[in-house]
Amino acid sequence: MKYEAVIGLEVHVQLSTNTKIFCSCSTRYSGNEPNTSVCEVCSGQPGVLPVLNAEVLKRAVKTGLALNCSIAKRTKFDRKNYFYPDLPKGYQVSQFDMPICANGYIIVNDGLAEGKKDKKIGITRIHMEEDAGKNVHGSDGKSSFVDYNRAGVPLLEIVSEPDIRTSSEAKEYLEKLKTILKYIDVSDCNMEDGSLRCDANVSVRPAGETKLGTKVEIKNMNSFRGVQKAIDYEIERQIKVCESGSKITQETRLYDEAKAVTLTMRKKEEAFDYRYFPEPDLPPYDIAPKDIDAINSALPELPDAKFARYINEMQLSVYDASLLSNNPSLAAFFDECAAGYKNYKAITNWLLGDISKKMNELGIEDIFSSRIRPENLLEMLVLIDNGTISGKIAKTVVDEIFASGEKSSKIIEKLGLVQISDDGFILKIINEVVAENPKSISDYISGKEAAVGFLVGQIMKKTRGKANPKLVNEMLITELAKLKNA
Amino acid sequence: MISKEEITKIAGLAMLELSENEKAEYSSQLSSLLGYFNEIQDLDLAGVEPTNHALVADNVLREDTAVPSLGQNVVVAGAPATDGKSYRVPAIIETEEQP
Amino acid sequence: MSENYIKYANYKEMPAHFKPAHEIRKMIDAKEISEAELMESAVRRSKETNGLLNAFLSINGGAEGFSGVKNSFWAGIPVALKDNIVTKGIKTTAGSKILENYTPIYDATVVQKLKNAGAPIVGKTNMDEFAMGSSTENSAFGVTKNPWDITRVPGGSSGGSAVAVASGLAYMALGSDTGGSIRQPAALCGVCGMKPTYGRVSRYGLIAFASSLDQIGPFTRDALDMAYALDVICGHDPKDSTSSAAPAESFSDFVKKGMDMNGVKIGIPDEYFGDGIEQGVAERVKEAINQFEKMGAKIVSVKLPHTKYAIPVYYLIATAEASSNLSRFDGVKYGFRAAEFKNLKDMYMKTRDEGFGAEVKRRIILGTYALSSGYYDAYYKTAQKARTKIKEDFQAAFSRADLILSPVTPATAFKIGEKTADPLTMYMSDIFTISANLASIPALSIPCGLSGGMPVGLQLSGNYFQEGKMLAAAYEFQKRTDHHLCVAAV
Ligand SMILES: [Mg+2]
Ligand SMILES: [Zn+2]
Repeated sequence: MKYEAVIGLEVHVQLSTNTKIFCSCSTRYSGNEPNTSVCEVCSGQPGVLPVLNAEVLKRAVKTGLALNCSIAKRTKFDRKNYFYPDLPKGYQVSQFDMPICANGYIIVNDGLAEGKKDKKIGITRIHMEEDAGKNVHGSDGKSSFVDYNRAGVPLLEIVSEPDIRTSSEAKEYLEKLKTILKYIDVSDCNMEDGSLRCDANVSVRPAGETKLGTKVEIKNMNSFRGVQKAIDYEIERQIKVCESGSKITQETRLYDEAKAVTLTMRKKEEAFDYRYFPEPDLPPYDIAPKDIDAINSALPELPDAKFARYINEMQLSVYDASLLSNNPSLAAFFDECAAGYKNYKAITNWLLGDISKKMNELGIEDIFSSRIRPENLLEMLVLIDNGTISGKIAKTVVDEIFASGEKSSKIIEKLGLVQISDDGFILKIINEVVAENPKSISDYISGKEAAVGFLVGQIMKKTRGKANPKLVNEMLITELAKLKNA
Repeated sequence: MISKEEITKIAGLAMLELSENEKAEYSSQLSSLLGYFNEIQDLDLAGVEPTNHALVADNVLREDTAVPSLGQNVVVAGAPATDGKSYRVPAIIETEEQP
Repeated sequence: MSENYIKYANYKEMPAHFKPAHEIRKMIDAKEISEAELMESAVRRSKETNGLLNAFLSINGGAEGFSGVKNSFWAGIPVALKDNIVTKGIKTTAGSKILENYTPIYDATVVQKLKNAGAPIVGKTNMDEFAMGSSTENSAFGVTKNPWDITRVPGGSSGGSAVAVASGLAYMALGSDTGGSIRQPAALCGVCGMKPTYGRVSRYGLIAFASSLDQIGPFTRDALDMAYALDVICGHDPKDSTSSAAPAESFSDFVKKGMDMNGVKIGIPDEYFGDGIEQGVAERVKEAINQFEKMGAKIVSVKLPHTKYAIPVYYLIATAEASSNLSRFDGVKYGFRAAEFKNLKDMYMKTRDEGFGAEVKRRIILGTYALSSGYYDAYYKTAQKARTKIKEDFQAAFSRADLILSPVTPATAFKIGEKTADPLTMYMSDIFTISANLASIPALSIPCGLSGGMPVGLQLSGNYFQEGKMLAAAYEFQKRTDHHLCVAAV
């Protein structure tokens, strides 16, 4: 029998606000000692009360709008009650029945792989909540140690509909989500450092069946790759269980990255009764349409719109448009360049070619954290266009921009990279090269056109790449024709 | 009527280890209390909004501006067990306890 | 046998420790008494009587508390705080073993305000554990005795604060009122007590019992002192999202101006004068009604038809919120941790079992049950809806009356141990006080005479933020009566 998987994802993203959700402790504690970014509120002292960070509410609305959600007119917080050492108050302030956002979607597969169709993955809801602290396991195996630096960091929990069918779709969903969140600048979205975390609900059913199978929740995946592998393993495991005639148990399983397997953590009977109830310490929040409008009109252009614009207005290829629009900083860089330079293809080639390669080499993720600026690239493109430098020389210029951040014109001057377009000088070199390579000349005369390339290479070498290649080509062919006809 | 078994389950949710005597006592006391509390089931509350919050003004918010935290020594000092930097608890076994 | 009380003809006759703060203020300003003498006397008397009354869980050494603040009514006048109000560096237990060694790392907003006003703190007063009780018998640190009769309870849960003011150990004491925990002990100890409008006083630093019902309020000798007390503790607090931004007038100025009682409509709820009220209590309250009528007030009848549901509604909501509020006491961050345990879960279970007293555990279980899956709608949510009906009752009543007058308690102070066996009987004694908490309205208790030698309290409630009007009416009553001049012989 053929089986189909049904997958839903629950993503927690940390918002990159200055302060925690309910107190004024800084969220920038990375690298600090444990329990240093902590006050009476986020350490759950008796008598403390929460006050909501305005920026959290704003970013939640922003995220909802970017993910095509409807925004609640009125929202409230609820308490989710359970005991765990990383939870200072014995309850998490979260949202239950009145989440801030609902009914959104993300479009995945948008053209990156040719031939695939766009697919809408529904977003059930987005809610605000506080993060828990961190438990560190002691080396003796007898103790654990609790650090509340992370306790109270604002989170958005983004819950998808069970619209995902494959692990690669899951990965595409996560990548697209991450791209959008980076565009709107609400979160760092880094799965490795925990600012983006993902749990998956997975079930299988015979292909064509419309009823849902029993779902299993998978936790503890630490990378997009891990999500993909865990889902693949789980689908295969569930199919095997079904094929053996057994029933899937509703449970929570942990992904073991080292062994690439999922392991039972908790069966359904042990499911928690969280006893949600409205948080009496926080009043409800009304969200005025004018506030939503203001946030909406301040939203940046999002990847889908950018992609469409690159294709329709700038005639980029689907592949290039997709690569650019899925990289918020590269797209911003591109847009800045494109505002002052009309050869979009040239910008794209440089950005996705040499510049991306250079960034990879240097381990730079965000182009704006490198030394290159749109004005450097623009100046360079103009210098290529007016023949001052060759495309080849430009590669050296790019290297130098990354190293020094200097203007292209200054680099060219400093390194003496100006293109040689002096006929007399070039002719002199041609003559030298012709004299030094009689074999190639006779090859050419006997009809081996390929010899031209070799000869051009020799000329360029002699001029250390500075000779105008177009001119070299033209003049060499003229000279060779003379020799042939002689 | 709340059975001793139900009391045990509820006590588990509330993380209270109760003696057999306490379970028996709470089972009978809570049964009679709830018997009396069931009066509220007689009320016609169709269409009535629950009072989720007492008298409060909506939309109370705070600026996103950091203030200095209290510091490790202040916060952790009062804990029953620490290593001086973090709260010490019996080993957490994730597969058993993580909610 | 000598009487258990002394009735003074006026404040002049009273020894300094029984005088109201507004008299003491005049004496300090006239240099008839020094701030140091006042504090020394308060601390000495508190220490001397604590063996008998057990009003305090901790008493200040005496040297602290003088900040040199000038131009403040409370500067140098000793006050006491219920032990569920956190005080930085001063042990705060909430009457519980689970916090027996807890020293807070911050001050409650009201403590900050009192410090700014220069009021020295005599000590932290005894209370029912986590404010759960009506008799101060549920303290992990012993019962507090009623100074009028030490075989009787002082009421609760703010019993220690009521006794501190009733016994002349502090001129003002703060308590917390979740279902009557200020007004009921005030009535049973013959002093004034007020639960302000929900949100009027910041809850920041009040160890939560039931967050949507809790409110800090003062105990004082008379209504004018109450106005001064409210002046210093009320106001918007940016640290408490439920604290009100309503402007706070100067209550003391308002009260001192005097109020013409002519035509003031005082509502009498029929539902509060049924069976089950001790005869002496009913008589004293009726006399008070007559007094108000004599002063020109118009007595009208009002209806609060959902009164009979108030106790179930209150106990379901309060215990549900409490079950969550008390989850933070888990032996990880502060306070008590069980000595022996097998693993993490065992540590939680044993810490909470050993750390909490019987009544607290009973309420945690009840509240957990009311919120648990399958029962939430039937209990918690239904109670929340019924709460709406109770609120509506009061809004309807206040459309007919400016103030509502009723007894505070059905009876005077009961004997220690009398009601501990049956929780329901104990819960029923809150019948007249809990509705104000459910409706978030302000209510106060003032003495209105004695029954069988024990004090009887009179409750005045007002609509939201009507504390000024309530206090002014209470003060007009006290100007013409002498019940507040009657004090326990301590
Ligand atoms: Mg969550
Ligand atoms: Zn904090």
